[in-house]
Amino acid sequence: MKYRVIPTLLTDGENIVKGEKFDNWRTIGNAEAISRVYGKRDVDELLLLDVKARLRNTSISPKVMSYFTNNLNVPFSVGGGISSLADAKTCFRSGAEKVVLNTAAILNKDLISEIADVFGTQAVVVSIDFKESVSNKLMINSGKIECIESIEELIHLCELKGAGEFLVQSREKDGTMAGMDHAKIETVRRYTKLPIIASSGAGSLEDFQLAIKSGANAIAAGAIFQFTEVTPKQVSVYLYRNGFEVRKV
Amino acid sequence: MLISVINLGINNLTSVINSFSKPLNSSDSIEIFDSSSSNSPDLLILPGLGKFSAGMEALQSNEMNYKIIELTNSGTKLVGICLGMQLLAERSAESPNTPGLGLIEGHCDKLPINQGEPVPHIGWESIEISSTNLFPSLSSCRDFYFVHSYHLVAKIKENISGITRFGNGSFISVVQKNNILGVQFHPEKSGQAGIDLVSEIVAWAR
Repeated sequence: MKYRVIPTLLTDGENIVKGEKFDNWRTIGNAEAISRVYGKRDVDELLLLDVKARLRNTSISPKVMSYFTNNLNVPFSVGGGISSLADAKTCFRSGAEKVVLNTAAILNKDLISEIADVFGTQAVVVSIDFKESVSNKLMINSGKIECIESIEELIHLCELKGAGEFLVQSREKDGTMAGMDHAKIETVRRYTKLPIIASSGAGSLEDFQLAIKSGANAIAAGAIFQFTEVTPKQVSVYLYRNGFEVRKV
Repeated sequence: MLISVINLGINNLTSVINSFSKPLNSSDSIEIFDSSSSNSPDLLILPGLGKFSAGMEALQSNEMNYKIIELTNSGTKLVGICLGMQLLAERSAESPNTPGLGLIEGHCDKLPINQGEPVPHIGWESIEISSTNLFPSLSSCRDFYFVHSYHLVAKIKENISGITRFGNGSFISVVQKNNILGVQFHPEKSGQAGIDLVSEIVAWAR
């Protein structure tokens, strides 16, 4: 399986925003314009998360998803406030390839099987959000509520219900470009054979390579692609030169 | 020419419609195909996402399965994408009690989990093309986007026009039988390689 490099874009339902540690959101651009830029970049895949959906008491904005459907020729996954099969249906109808679940699925694991039964397990990504690097404590609700389950239990139950992939996020590293939490990636890898998208903290080319060595199948990154000159394509070339199989274009 | 995209109700039609609209010129049109469609398309697209039984039930609920078989038998070009390719088969291990369209002899099986490769299989892969392939963009130098847990096993060797490596083995990624084409990957999500293939498919159906 080839390693994927996935730019992450965060939206507030209108614009593309950027934050740090799941907070301090600021607007960095118009969602439609940014969707066109990523359409031209021919990236491997894209991750679009609505960080304000739960605050708006809704799920990810169909309007923002539609910009990406219209302008991207590559797959994208969406997340943010998805709480029901109906919410997931809206996402797939809007053109998303996969839905990313966190709060709703962790509180009610049957939501995973409800979606997987209709759309297949490959369409369901469960986000595992680590609170801090010193412990394996997990968070839900955009990092606001601590989760009572252990990482092992959570992975086991999600797999049983039909999760197809895990997104691993670390709140402490999010948006910092200070390097990823490799111990957490290794921990998740220990408990699952499913594909892992490692996220949070990638700040250098080497970080991507280290994430793969920790067990990631794909690496999602936001800040490095928005605030530095590094492009997803450069990362793929770097990985290829270091002996990792990536997409041929 | 007229392109009709079959609506299973569960799949995303926007990306497929966008991608097949690109090579069209002003006298061409593209429409969503359902049980009330009376037009006779030049190219019928069966896109897919989801479970085999959900896809077949959607077709059966308004007898679209018969309509697809009838059009295909009368020579209309048909392209099955991902689940759409699997629905062309006679049956699938994913939903043993639901028969498929039976347009390609064979069945669908789950990808083997003992190949050291994660299942579902998600990502970019190349295709080894057989000599019967009609589409030059399906070259082994380019990757296409796959996301699936099942794969089609074709009974007739001549219908296999592309395979993709999977661990130590492989699965069939492209089938072709006369006017029927099935691709396990998503051309509408395969970047520039997919855009190129879609224009070749449209040219084939003209």
